[in-house]
Amino acid sequence: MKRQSAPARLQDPLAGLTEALGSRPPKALAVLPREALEDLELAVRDARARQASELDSSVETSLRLAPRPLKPLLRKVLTG
Amino acid sequence: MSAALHSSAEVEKLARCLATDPERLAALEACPPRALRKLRHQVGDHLLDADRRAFARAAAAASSVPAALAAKLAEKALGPLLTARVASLVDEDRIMGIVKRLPDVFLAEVAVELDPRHARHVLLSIPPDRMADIAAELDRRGEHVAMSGFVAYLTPDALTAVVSVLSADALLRVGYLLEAPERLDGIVAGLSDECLTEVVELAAAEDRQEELAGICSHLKARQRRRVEAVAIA
Repeated sequence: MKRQSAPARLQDPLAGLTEALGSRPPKALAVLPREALEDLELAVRDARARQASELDSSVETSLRLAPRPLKPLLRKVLTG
Repeated sequence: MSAALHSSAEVEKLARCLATDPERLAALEACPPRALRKLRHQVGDHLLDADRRAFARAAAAASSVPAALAAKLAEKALGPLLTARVASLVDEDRIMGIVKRLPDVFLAEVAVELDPRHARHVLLSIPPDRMADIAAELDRRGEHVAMSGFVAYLTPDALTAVVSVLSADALLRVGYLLEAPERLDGIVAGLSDECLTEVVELAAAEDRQEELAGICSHLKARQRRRVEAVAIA
């Protein structure tokens, strides 16, 4: 989803969160202070980034833990 | 008061989904619980979709290696949160073989991270006696809010087994916050008079009448009369 410009965010308090989620959040959230919405947007982006990083780490850990005969199969499945 | 407790519970669940501190999201408690639940579902869907290829690979790996190794990798490499998300993409038959090799403590941690909308088959794959052990562990940890999210998705046998091990504190809080309150009547019907008395007395002693009233509002006449009779006695 395209990043919203600053004026768009000013007009629409949920624009940033919509962009982070990829879908429109419930409109009841529009009553929240701007700082709270920005922090929620940041929390969503942080969670996504952390998840991607942890998934990467889990591949390395899995390959380290796997018995030697299964490593090639596991590497092929996990890394494509 | 009742909406506030529901909103607070939803914020706690959302914080867990985002792996962040509930205090960071405290401002959201001003929003209606229904909106917060919808937001939580959107966040869960977004996080699953954003890395769906990686989750699908991990699920494929779980199906390609022996179940004992898959269980070891879940516990040591993925951890509870990623395991809960991967599990939603693993076949039911495969899940059963992995689940029986995982310790209760880890399964308890996975259970509170599961999104039952995507992973009901995981909950259904856990035998009632093990589900009861997991619930007892979560009760000990005070994870009542998290339990309210998945208890409603259990089979009738598993639900009966779980209810039989929960403390009065857990029954009151989980019952009040249950995501499928239509099951409350059956749950209360399964409680012994002694257990029901304990719940009612706890609600009175700890000024948690709102929670008890919230439960009662979902009961049919027969069970509501039982609760009222205990309260009057």
